[in-house]
Amino acid sequence: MAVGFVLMTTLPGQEAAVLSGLDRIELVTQRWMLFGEFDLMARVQADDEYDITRCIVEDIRTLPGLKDSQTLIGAEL
Amino acid sequence: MPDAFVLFKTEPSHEQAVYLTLAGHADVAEVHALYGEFDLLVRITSTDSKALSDLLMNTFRQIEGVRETRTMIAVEGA
Repeated sequence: MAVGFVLMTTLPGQEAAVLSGLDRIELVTQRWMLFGEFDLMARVQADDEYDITRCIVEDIRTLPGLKDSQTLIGAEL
Repeated sequence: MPDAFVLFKTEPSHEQAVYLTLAGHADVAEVHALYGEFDLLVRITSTDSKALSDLLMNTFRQIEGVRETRTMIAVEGA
């Protein structure tokens, strides 16, 4: 199993729209609105990192209202 | 109190020790090792903001091997 966390900033006033878009993405298992530097964070979970990459590039980063994102990929210790 | 997230940078080779210390803490809901700029991500469920401040300053930031933290607070009910 692979896990990734995507930190996002949205265009002003677009937080709810992006949040709603995240709710429609199958691999997004949890999402939060944040105070501070980033506006939203999503947890993406899949069988492998390829699926996570595809989800982020094709589904998340194309959401209308998204301004910027930073991805944290889970590692195994 | 909503969830809070803390990103950690650790001293080199301290990742696993810090991970295990955090994973054993009662207020830590989940901990993940990461590739990239930060080494660990923790989700915290604490009772109130004072408890969260205490946890961060007197517990997490005192763990040997922790070099830097960045805290993000989730918006309740969003």
